[in-house]
Amino acid sequence: MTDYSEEDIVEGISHNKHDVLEYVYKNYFPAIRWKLALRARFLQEDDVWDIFQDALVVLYRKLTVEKIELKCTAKTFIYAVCKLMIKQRRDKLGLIEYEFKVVLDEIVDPVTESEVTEFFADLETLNDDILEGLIIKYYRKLQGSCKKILRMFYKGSSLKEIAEAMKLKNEIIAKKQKYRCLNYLKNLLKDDSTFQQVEKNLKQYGKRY
Amino acid sequence: MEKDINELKDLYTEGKLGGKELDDFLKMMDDDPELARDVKLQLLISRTLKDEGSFALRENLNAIHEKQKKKKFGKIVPMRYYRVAAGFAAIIAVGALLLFVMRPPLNKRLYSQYYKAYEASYSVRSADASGDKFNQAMGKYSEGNYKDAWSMLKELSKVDKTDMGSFFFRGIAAMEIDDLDDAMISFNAIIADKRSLYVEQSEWYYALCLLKKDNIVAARSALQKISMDNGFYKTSAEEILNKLGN
Repeated sequence: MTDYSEEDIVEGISHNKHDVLEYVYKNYFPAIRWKLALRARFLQEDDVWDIFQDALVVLYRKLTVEKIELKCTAKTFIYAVCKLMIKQRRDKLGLIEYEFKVVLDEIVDPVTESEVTEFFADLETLNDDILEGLIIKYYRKLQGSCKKILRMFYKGSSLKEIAEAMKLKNEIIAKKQKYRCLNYLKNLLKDDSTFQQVEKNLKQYGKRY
Repeated sequence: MEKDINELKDLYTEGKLGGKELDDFLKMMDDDPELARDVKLQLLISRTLKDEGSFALRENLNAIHEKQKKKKFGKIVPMRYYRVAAGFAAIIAVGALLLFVMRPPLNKRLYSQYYKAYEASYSVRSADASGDKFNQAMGKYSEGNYKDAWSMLKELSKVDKTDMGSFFFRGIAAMEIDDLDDAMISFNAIIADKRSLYVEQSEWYYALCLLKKDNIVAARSALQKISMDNGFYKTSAEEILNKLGN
């Protein structure tokens, strides 16, 4: 496998380059998976993958939207974000106090963690990142027509355009169909135990509007 | 015509609600936490599905994950199943204890049988005059002075976190002085760095630490991984697994 420089890795993540992402996956994911597999009582394959994927998306956004300059390696950043995300999901993963501490200590040491947390004005935003990961996960489980309607709507298509594309009778039907799909997605999310866990972490919704 | 609640949610999340309608809607959310919860979720859904870049990245990553997991990883068996198995093992162990009261527990016996301090392949002397601290530490290690070796290697691994040799022998020295927590931390630093030469050895010693710490469930899981990896310790790992029973 090609070895990439740190610069190549950062650039590849920013530009969603398949070969670089594959390299990152092969070299960074097994250690996180391995550490959690040893510790978490209720671990499922998806949980580890969700954590890792969400951490990569966080890095992608930091690089492309906030345009941060990393002070550590991409690997350290990803591991530290995984660590922060494990903190948010600890109950779901079934980590008891001792195991929880050991897992966190193992993933990245406190010095590098602080190098990473300085990029987060508010660590609570990580909960939103976890929720976004869940949204995509459940969005993928929707029926094809629902996926298409929601994508079109959020990409700015009008109800008339949606009705035409989906061969629906009129805009009113398209609107009803869109609400049905959106509510179905919301209900799937609200039933998810990780969603409920993260919701508990977000202390007061009201204050955020 | 008055707007229905779904329409209001849409307009709010798309930033198209203004004036009195916005004020009224904000008040509705203040009075109704469930509505506020629902709107917050809708805002996130809107933001997520509009973010083309992150969406494409996730698609790409998922494709890689699906391809690789079929090839490389075994399935993670939830720990609860191991716990059920461990429960049965515990019942058997109680019976065995009645027969062999004086014998140490099986995991401890297996540890003694399979643990052997890793031999340093370094040609070192304790009175190394070169001033190289690693060599000096390894000198202590070779003499069997694990306590001094451990403190020197711990210092070295703190200073240079890429020094996997220091981490590894610190781990073994820690096992020798029965500081298993420190040993596990050291081995894990190596396991996290897949490029290290010591990954395979670290996984093996880490599993032995778990065994000695009576963490049979995790030890079994670690040994199964070693067995699946087909490395140097495969046979020993499978022997222990067989002796531990199912």
